[in-house]
Amino acid sequence: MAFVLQMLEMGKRESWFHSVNPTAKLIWWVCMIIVPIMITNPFALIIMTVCIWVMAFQSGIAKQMYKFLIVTYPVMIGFIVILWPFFYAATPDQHYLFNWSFLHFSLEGFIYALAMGLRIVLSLTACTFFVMTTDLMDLASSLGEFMQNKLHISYMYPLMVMSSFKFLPELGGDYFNIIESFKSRAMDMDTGSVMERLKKYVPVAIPLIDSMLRKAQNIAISLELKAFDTNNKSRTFYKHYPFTIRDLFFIFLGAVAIVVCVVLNSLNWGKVDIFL
Amino acid sequence: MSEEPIIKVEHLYYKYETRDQFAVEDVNLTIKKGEFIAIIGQNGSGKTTLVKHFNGLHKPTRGRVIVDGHNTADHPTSELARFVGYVFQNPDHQIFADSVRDEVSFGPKNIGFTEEHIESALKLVLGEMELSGMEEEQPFQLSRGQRQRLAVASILAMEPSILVIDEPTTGQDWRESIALMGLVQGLNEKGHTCIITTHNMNLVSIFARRVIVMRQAKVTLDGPTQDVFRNVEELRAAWIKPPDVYTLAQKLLPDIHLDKPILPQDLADLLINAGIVGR
Amino acid sequence: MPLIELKNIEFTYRGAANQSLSNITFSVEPGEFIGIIGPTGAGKSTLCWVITGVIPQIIKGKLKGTSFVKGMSSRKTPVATISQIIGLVQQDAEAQLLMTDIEKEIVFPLENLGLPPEEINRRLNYVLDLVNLRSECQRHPFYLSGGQKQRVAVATALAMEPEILILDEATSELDPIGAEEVHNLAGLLKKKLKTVLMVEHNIDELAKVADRIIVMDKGRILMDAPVRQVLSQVDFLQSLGIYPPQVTQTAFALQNKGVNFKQMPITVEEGMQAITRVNHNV
Repeated sequence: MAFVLQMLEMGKRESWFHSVNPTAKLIWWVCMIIVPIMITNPFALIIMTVCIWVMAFQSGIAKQMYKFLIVTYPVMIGFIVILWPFFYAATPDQHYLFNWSFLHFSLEGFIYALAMGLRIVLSLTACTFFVMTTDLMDLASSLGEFMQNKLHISYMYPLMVMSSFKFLPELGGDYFNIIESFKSRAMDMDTGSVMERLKKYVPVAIPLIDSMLRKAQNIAISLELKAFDTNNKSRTFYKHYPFTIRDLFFIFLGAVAIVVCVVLNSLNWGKVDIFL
Repeated sequence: MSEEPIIKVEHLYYKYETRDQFAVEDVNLTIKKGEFIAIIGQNGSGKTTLVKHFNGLHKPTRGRVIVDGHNTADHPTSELARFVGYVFQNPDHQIFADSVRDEVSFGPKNIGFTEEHIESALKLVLGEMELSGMEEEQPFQLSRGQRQRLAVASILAMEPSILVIDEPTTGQDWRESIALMGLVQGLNEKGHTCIITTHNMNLVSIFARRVIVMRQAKVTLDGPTQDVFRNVEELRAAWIKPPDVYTLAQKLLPDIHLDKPILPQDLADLLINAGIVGR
Repeated sequence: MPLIELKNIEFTYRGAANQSLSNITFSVEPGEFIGIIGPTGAGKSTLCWVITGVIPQIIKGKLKGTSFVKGMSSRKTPVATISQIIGLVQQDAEAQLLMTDIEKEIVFPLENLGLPPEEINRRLNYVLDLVNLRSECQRHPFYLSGGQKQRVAVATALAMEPEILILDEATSELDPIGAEEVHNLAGLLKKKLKTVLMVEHNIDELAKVADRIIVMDKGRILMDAPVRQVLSQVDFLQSLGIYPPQVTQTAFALQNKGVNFKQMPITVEEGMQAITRVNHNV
């Protein structure tokens, strides 16, 4: 829960990248998801990851990004490097480091696994950068405006997303209070088998659901008092996010990455296989 | 009241992981068996953080807390709950059962009381909290005041000798507040050590015999109710307004010595006895 | 024309056995500051919901009698329309905020009303200064104190530029500093000649700002009179479980012992003056 709050705070900082139109950043992010799907060349993946890190430095979020990714990177890469040898097809011409029954651990397999890991690293880095430089609420609001005015979809859906970011941390606070109150009634939450422990959480869920239901009625009343109407198509938007040169440039960056991938693939340099 | 200390807090420091400053800083307290104490101070002054140490919900960052001979650092809350009952501010954060009976017997079952023991405890605490005959009622259908009393009852059923109640009267009117506090006073007279945190100074002046003031993580005043409420300067620094009778007494009878807490009726008597007003 | 006019209102919640409001009749003129007191379950919040049309439009039940806001029936006029005339601030500070920061919170209803961005900007700046939260306007409500949250709720209601503000126990879950923040704000609104209805447990604070007090119990109005007249009824208030100001209680105790006061004091200063004046007369 604290993470949700921290993320929201980060998105509100000021920098060149923070001020880029949230929709432009969303498009850039989509490009950065497509790139690792298209190519597995570890050098290309590393170069792009480094580029994002440079951008993170420029926007002053490198420290927080490091804090988050230093934990996430090893988990993701480690997972893949450990699992890959089980699946990498064994051929006699590989340089085997370890070969026994169904376990084949070869240099080639290792390089391949590393490339797979780098794909994940790139998309993870891009995602973290996107979340940490974007006010997600601004994004929801600008998408909401687009949906209402162009697609005639009710503002209800963006509102639900925004409100969940408001209520989630509070629900987290309630949860901790409830846990503490059960501990105070001699409930031992920390011992017993997994099933036993899960069973202990059943009573905890009841006050939590009760508190959510109470909130739900208040929210319904508040929405009415705040003149919200799902069928209202004449809702205005206080903040507009017009596209500027800088936003187009940002989308252009994403497009360039895709073009680079297409070129690499057409030259047959896109896949990790060229190193094997 | 015996002289035997039941809670000892020695050089207690506590820091939340997410914050840089101490939430409780160098607090030293001795609480004796049978005392009725109010801990007052603004939100964020550290009073809830302090009382959460009494049943081990928080473990000291530095220093130690001894409750009935147990160092809280060495025992989980589920064990300390036998000696220290902790009632949370919002009764809806603990109520989960289908019936008052199940709600109240939850704690005793966790401790491992026998069936007969639970039944007798249930009868006793429902009587004490004026909920007798409501064993089969649905807790969610009770009024806010009744739910608050149910929360106290479900803690009392574990037969703790110390009772900590965090903000017992939030969201309740004066009549409900007085009723609840009257019941707590009854428990105190039977020998329970009672510790409450509250913002309602009128309630403090009626029920508490000792008041502890917290400001910015430290205990800044600690003494008999009538003495604490006359320390206008420190109270002002802690953003606490003493009950009006004390302010009025301070202005009209600046030199008078008070040996017990006063209420409007007492002030009227004092004014007449001092000859400030005549008939 | 009165801003609010209720006649013979009776209300029973769906599924409830007893009436929550019975025979409620009163009206509110522009510029009045009215306090509403009474024990829990007296029907104070129910009354606020009837006035704003939340009852019967969102919360259902059996409603009788008439309720008009500026001549419009609050039964039929959409709550969204009434909320442009009456701003309602409720007890639970947390649940009435829906957005992730203060600015978005205040702006949200204005966008719903379809106001142009320039007008929204003007109102936003006005209310941010009024409740003094400009420096906090990008913060998540999670980080705000209870008093700040309620000030946001007041600001959000005021941004819709209502003619009446209803504070329904807005301070009952706050600590003293938070309550004082809200009380100060109420005092400020009084100066700006807004019509305010304030439901409040703390009668001392109400005494400072209200012109008129309505005392309720068990769904009925027991008394509707100027502040001093209500507060001097110490016995009556105590029988309802309302705690009168301690100074008034002290004077009342003195009166029972034969000391006469021309007027019952409420604040410490008044108490000092009244008691020393009695002293001089002796």
